[in-house]
Amino acid sequence: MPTKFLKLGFDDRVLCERSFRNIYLNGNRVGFNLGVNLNYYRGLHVSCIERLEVKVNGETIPEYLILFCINGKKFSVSQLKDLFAEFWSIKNTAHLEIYNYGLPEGKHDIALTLELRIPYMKFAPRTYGAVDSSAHKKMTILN
Amino acid sequence: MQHDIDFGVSLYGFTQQWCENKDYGFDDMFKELNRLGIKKFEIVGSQMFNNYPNPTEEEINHLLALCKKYDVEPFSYGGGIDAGKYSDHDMTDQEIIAEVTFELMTAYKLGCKYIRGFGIPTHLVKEVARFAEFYNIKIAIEVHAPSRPSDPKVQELIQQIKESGSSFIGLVPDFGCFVERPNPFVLQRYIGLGANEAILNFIVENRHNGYTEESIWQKVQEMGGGQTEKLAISELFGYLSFAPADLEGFKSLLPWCLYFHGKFYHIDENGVETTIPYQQLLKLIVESGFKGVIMTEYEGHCFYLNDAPEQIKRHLQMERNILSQLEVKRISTV
Repeated sequence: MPTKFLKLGFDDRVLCERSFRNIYLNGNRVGFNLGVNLNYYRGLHVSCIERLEVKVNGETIPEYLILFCINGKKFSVSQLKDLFAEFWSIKNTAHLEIYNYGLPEGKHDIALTLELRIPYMKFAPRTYGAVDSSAHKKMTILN
Repeated sequence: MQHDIDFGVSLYGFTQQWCENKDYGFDDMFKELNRLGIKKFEIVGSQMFNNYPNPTEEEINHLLALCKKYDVEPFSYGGGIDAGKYSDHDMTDQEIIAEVTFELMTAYKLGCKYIRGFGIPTHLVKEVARFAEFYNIKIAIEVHAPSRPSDPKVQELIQQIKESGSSFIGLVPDFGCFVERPNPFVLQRYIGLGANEAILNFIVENRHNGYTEESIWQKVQEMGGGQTEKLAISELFGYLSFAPADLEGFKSLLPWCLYFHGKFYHIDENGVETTIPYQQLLKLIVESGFKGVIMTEYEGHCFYLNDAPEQIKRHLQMERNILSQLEVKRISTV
């Protein structure tokens, strides 16, 4: 089934409005949570993530401010490439915790770049098909 | 049952609801199977388990309890080898054999008699047959588009299966190998995404005109094509590939087929799959004396029409119609 580049039409499920909310610590707003689902037909190992970037209102969030949470565990973005035993299933929402002091009330422009390796579509040594699960949405932050 | 051919339905056919509707689950799919009067099904592990390649006992038990409730039966387990899941290396042969074993363990727990194998390198066929025998589960290696049965690598696979002398390894051809022309719905989807119709026609007309995927992409860029046209090229040179059906090649697979993936995209109001020559494929299967299962595998979700139950019903009816016509012909020639 080698197909080199795929973007399926399940885009609307990627950015999850229900879990777009601010994070508070000791009464202070410290960040926000962004729920993400895969735009694909099957689950993938977290290690298959090749590119993960978040832009909020046009500004790129520095990688070190992001935690990737899945299966009850939290990881830094730099750890993701090693997570071949963490499976991100289709029914499972991953949560990005982004510690940028959170977002003020109202709508925000969220652009996620998410590209993954398709681990069974091998074309050549270390060359695999790719699936684009990126998404772009204006969403209202929940407090 | 006609001609000793039985039918099953792959749950993969329900992909659109599964992906779009968080609450859609096994209950819903099994109710559809009940409505269709179908007991046997295939489940793709990486699509429907939350833990893969090793689903938890809880997940397995949940599925088996629902099978009992709805009186349906996991016939085949859609496995595969995620050879690229490691970021620092491609799986070694040893790692691939371990993955096959994980799939056998899951299939065993589910009570499946068959595994759809994908990504098992040809040189490991004899080795994995040994493990399949331990579990008493047959591994059917999938022949899938854009591969065609006559391709040298498919013929080499047959040779290895033959030499293994094992009845635990064989083939499952996917009828997507025999798509003869792109479905109009595919082209409509690209146009809906903003593709240029003239460029699309160029891609379709020149699919078999000496271009590689890379060289046609170069040409399409010169014509002004962008990302949507790139997607079209990727799919039409990939899983939505098309060509005159390789029926001679199909005949060479038949002695090694353990079951079939009745892949289809769209059945029209007249009960015809407009891009795959089902009549000819089923005729060859019957003539080969095959006894077993054709697994209905709807992939029209790539058109996003949300019509799986109706399409699957039409597919089963189409197959029954074709088989009963073949029966009439056979009797009349006796």
